[in-house]
Amino acid sequence: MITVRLRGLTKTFSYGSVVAVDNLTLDIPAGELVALLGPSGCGKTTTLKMIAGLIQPDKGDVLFDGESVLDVPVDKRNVGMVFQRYLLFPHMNVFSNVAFGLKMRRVPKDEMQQRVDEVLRLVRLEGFEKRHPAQLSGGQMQRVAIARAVVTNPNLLLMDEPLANLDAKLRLEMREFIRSLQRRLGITSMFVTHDQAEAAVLADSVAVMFDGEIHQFGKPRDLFNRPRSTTVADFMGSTNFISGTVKSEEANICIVESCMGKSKIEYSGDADVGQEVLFTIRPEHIEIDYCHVLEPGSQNTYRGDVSDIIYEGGLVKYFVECEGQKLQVHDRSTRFLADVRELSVYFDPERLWIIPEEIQSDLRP
Amino acid sequence: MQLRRVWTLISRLVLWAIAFLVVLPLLPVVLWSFTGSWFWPDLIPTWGMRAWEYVTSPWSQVGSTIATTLLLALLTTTLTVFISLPAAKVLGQRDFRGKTLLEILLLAPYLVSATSVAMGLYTVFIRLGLNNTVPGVMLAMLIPTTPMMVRMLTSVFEAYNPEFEEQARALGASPLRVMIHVTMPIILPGIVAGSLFTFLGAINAFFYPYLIGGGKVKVLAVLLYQFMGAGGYDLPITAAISIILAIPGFLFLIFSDKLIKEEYFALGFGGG
Repeated sequence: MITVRLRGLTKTFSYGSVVAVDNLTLDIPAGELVALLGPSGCGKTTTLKMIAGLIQPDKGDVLFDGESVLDVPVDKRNVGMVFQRYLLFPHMNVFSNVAFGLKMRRVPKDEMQQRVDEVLRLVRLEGFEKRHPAQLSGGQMQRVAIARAVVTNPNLLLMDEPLANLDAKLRLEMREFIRSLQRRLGITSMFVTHDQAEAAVLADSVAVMFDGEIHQFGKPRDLFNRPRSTTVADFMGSTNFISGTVKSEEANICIVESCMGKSKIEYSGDADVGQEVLFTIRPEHIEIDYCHVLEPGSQNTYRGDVSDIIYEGGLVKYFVECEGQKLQVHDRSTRFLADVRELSVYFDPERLWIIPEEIQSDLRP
Repeated sequence: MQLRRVWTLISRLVLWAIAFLVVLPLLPVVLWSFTGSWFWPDLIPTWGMRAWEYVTSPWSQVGSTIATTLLLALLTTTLTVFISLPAAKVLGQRDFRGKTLLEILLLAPYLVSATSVAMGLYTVFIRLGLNNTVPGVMLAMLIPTTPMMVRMLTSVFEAYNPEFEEQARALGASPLRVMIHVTMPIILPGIVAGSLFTFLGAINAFFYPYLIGGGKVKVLAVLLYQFMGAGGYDLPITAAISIILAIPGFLFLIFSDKLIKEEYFALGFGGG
């Protein structure tokens, strides 16, 4: 188990002046599974390849247990890597594919046999030794690729979009599989994904990356509920952004006034009275007052006109407009699907969040 | 249902007709080679082994000609592979400006008539002293073989994912071992397929060996031509040499049919 530290990693590709990875600093604690989450083209894969040693950074350093590995070539870094397209060697059967890393390390035949057997049992592919990659299903290829990466007992396991090529049902299964395997082996691991749910389910912590920079690094819960910037909030699926002015602030309770009226927000950060702020609430966190129990005008309760309803099976999306503020409300109860014209919604003060990076410092003249 | 059966029957008949049309002209060739003489109005020739005896005799030069032909084809094929591999790798794996133009230019030897190319080459080779030599003929043969090989290998490299090499490196393979254990085995079937076609083409080549070889570099096709026209009109011997010339093709057919069944060999044929 090793700790991986990335220090100011920077990479610019010659065919574009665009910086692929810009001054990236990140720590991967020993034995943890970290997700690198971001839209395609944000530099995730480049980062992964720089850690593996497949791409040499222009600037910065990669440290394994405190020691720089920049001078260590990829084949000597002892890193297990699973590519998005699995890349099982087509001319080798499952056994030879899995044994490849051991063969390169000149492991004796009988030990090789034993270790391959062991890892194939671990990925539940006993009896598949003689099969060729073309004879395997997507999930099986994926498991062979993982077995091949971990059979050498690598210091670090890197996975590039490990689930992207699987169909939806298999993806859920493989999520569980990868998670439990990583826990069992205890290898320090990092994987790249563009799917927030995947990152949330699999990873101990998640780094959200845009345009070569990490915007936020933290526990999945915090990324969903405590986004540091609108970009992160938006990427994590928040759709409701409301701007307002802080009216009062005491004991971690803010009252913010927006076009919708006043909102009570539980907030422990620093927002001063008079500051312009942007706050957000996830669409699934807005409560709908179906039974009209809330007094109109009571705290954090707003009345709005429904402009559109989208029915998505287990989920109904309401598009609501409250005093010119557009809101998206997701409801899983699907109780009143019929053509509602008007809704009362309630914001739980705990669920509201003031986006720190959007706090404007004193704008008063 | 009924219609489909009729359709199957028709397509099968057409297939047999084509096969028949291909094989039928070969039949008299085989017959001729075992003929002593066959004059009008005889329906049945007088059989004889004269042609085969001559062909297998040392003074016919057929043996040495076969050796020259094979040597020339082998050299040409090897050189073609070495020239085409890097070119095909770049064409198959990189995108750059002018790529399409380059691909069209590569086919130029097929667009310009072989006669014009050969005549130009002939005058250049006179100056270089390459006419009437094996290296000269070999260099000339590269003109038709290289574009074809580059074309075939390009499709091999298009299908080949260079990430295989990164994967192998990450698994602990040195660059040399990546080449030996991963790159070569994956692209080898394509190279074999391309080489077979080139080799076959080189064995049957007539025009360049005839013109550049100037009768000094004797290959089977040129020998055949001499028996057909220039030297005298000896049909049984011509037929026998024709059959020898066709043997590699038949071997290739059997061999490739076996290889094509292995699915990744199909890469070399632009499939897969």
